[in-house]
Amino acid sequence: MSEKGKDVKDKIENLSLQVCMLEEGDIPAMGGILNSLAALKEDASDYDCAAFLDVINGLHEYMSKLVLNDAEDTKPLEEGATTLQSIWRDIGNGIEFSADVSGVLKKLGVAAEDRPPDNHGNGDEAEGHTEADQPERVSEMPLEDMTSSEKTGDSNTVPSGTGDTSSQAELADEDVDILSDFVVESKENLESIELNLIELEQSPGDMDIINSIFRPFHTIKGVSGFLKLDKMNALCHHTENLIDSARSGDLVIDDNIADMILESVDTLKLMLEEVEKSLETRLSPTFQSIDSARISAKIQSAGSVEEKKETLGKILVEEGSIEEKDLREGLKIQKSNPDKKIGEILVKEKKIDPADIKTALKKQTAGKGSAGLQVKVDTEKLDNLVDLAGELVIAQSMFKQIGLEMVGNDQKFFQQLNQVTQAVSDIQKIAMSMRMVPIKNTFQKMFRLVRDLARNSGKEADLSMSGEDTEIDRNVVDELYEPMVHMIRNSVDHGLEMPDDREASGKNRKGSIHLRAYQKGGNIVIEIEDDGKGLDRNVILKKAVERGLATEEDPLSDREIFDFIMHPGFSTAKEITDVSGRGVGMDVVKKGIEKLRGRLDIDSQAGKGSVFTISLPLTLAIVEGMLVRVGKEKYILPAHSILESFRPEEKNCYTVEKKGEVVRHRESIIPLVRIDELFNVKGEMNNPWEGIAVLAENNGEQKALLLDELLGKEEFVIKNLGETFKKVKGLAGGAILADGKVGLIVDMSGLFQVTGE
Amino acid sequence: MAEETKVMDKAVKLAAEREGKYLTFTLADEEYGIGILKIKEIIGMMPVTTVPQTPDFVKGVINLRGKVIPVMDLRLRFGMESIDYTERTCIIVVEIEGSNGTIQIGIVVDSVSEVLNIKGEDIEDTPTFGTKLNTEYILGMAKMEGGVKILLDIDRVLSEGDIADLESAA
Repeated sequence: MSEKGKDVKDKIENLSLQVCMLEEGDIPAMGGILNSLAALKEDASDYDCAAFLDVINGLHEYMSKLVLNDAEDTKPLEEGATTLQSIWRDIGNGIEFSADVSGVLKKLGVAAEDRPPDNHGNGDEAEGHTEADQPERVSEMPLEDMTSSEKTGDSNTVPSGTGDTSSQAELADEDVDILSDFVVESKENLESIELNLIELEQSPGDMDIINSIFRPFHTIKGVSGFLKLDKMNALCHHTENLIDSARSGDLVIDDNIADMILESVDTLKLMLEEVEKSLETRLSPTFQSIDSARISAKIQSAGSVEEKKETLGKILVEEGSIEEKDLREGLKIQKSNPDKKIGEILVKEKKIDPADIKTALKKQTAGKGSAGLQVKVDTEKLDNLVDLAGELVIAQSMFKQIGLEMVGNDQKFFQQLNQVTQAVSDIQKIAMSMRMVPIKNTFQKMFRLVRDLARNSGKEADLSMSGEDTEIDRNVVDELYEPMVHMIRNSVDHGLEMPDDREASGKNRKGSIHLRAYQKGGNIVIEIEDDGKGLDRNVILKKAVERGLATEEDPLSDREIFDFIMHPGFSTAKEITDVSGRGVGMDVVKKGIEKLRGRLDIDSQAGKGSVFTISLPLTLAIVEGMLVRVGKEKYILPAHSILESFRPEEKNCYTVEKKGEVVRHRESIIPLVRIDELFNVKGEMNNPWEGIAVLAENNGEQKALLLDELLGKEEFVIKNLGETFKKVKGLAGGAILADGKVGLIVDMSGLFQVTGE
Repeated sequence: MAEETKVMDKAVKLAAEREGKYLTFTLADEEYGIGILKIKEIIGMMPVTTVPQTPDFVKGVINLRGKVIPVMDLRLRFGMESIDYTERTCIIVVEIEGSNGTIQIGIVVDSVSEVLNIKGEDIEDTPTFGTKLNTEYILGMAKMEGGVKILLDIDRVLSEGDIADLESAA
């Protein structure tokens, strides 16, 4: 493509960008678009293509209309821009553009032969706009019927004029970007719809909640329309209408309506999956396998009355600005003059002040996207930031070391250095906290799950949660979702009894499942508690014996018996439902949790209920540890597992069978572990009373670790040692010490395991 | 004829794959080479933190500008005696395919020589030595004036499947 050609291409792309970013009333942006069009017109005269010029002119005309407020919809603009792009694809490559642009031109309000004179240079004549006009326009924006009109050539690279939107053509690069953003956003939107719907069931009629269900549908509708995902667009449109009738009070959202909305959400999710697939195959998505017509019809028949005017009136009455009867009179007048807005009528009838109308309108459109300013950030960037923040801490502390050696005691130097240390430490904390997300999100996803499970199984269940603000690392949260889902399924399926049985045994008809999260020591603990029928240890034991996992006489604690259910293939269910019972779930859950270096504990009382406790280490990235020296090597003991340190006295040390060693400390006998032997380094002391013992605890057990010297407590950045060392027990990772060497971080549970065998 | 051309084809292809630039280094009077695309950097010897419960050729870990990477002694890996480190001893940091993505590993060598451009026709297949020597990780032998260089398939040498297994046996 020639220089000139490239230039035109850029201009067209720029124009498309401007058009899609255009918002109503954005006069400067409109001016920008007019400028781009003028520039394009000049270039277009070089290419002998009537259609090209026509479309440019058409766009220009339409823009002027927009500016003057004679038109409101930006859709024709978008179509025009896309048409321009496809025209350009042809003529830019020397092919003649031969498709029919009259459809687009008609939308733009220009006939093909018209070449209107150049009069609107910039958007200066935009002063017709006043602030007061804006809000009103927004409230009465007609919900257009977004049926798919024929588009003359869209983002397909097939230069054949009549672009067939339903055929699977290739996706251009820009499309892939937009589509993937769309998928991410829409997923979030759909999730919020689900949540709000469940909330709505608790407090039906709450207008705020209904609005917050409406808005995401509207958003998805808008973007899917722009992206020519027509089936999605149509479904959203119908669902949106349904909710809108609820908004205006024509319809109450009961269980059936809620189910329909949820069905719509599910269908949309399926469509989103299609879109995701299409991102991989790079072909534009088709939804041929998804039947949205049925659900659309259902929704439409559920009642979609389109009356928007009353909303404003209702607000006014609520506000007390007018009275019911004024509103009724006003509506009567409106019915005979349907294009007068209710606000105008009321003002005319002197029932109300224009200022009150304004505030009421503001209230109507309030709540539009004000959930605290947030930005979306790529997680890769976040991870990099955290790593670099860690580097900074290390570099700064090494700097401090050198400073001590070189400068000695200069006050000013250390003042500055301390400031730097402070700032670096703060950056570290913030970077770390950016990676943490409250576990609330995961918990909330469970609401819908419990609702559906309960309904399907005929049981009644209530989900409650506490401690949902506890924060957990972003990566961990993703891994946690599946295990939790499975355990909740188990609770509903196996744990909770049928409502009648529950009543018979004196419990509430509604079973309750409680999710609890809190931080304990260096771990985050998540409990899933239900008040169902609990685990029957005898049944489990019997099954375990059957499968050869234990014998009748083994003295097993309850805990150990319950652990059997995590064996692969183990199930005491009498029949397999489609939800569970195969014996496949719990061991997968266990593996998932162990992958995160956590543990799963089960506690239960037959007849009363069960508690599943997941505890996961928080030791992602920073650990507060005690630096210790054994011989020439330095190790880091995690601070939370250290109870105290002491110097054992000779008289308190004893040997057992000449092999084990114990020390007596504060009236308890504690096993002694020689770190130098364990880690194969040469220690300095030979006898326990010559060194320092650190009392460490892990999971209820206590051991005394024998070392040469304690070097101080600090915060260390954990560095993964990599796959090479993943089988080494007793090491949680490495950390860079202040002298640049690597210090190994001890994993207490691994250490206890190794020394326990 | 067809058979012969096929065999020739394969040989030519194989030779073409192995040709390229190699970094050569010495280990106990023997000269080895590793393809330069696998090499990340070369650093002088630095203090290594030993890691317990690893086979003896895994010397430990070092701090490479903030990253902790494992270090292996190639002499011990190949079953030779280990010697004290001199000022010529270097650590070559290579990047190999691990089970989830690339990992960086450092290898300790006696000294580093130069980067040589080795042509495909100079590379011969490794002769078999019977069970005495596992030649899996030798790509081939390069004939240069001055001697023969042993070209290593560094992924095989350091494949940590072996390492992890060896360690659990230790």
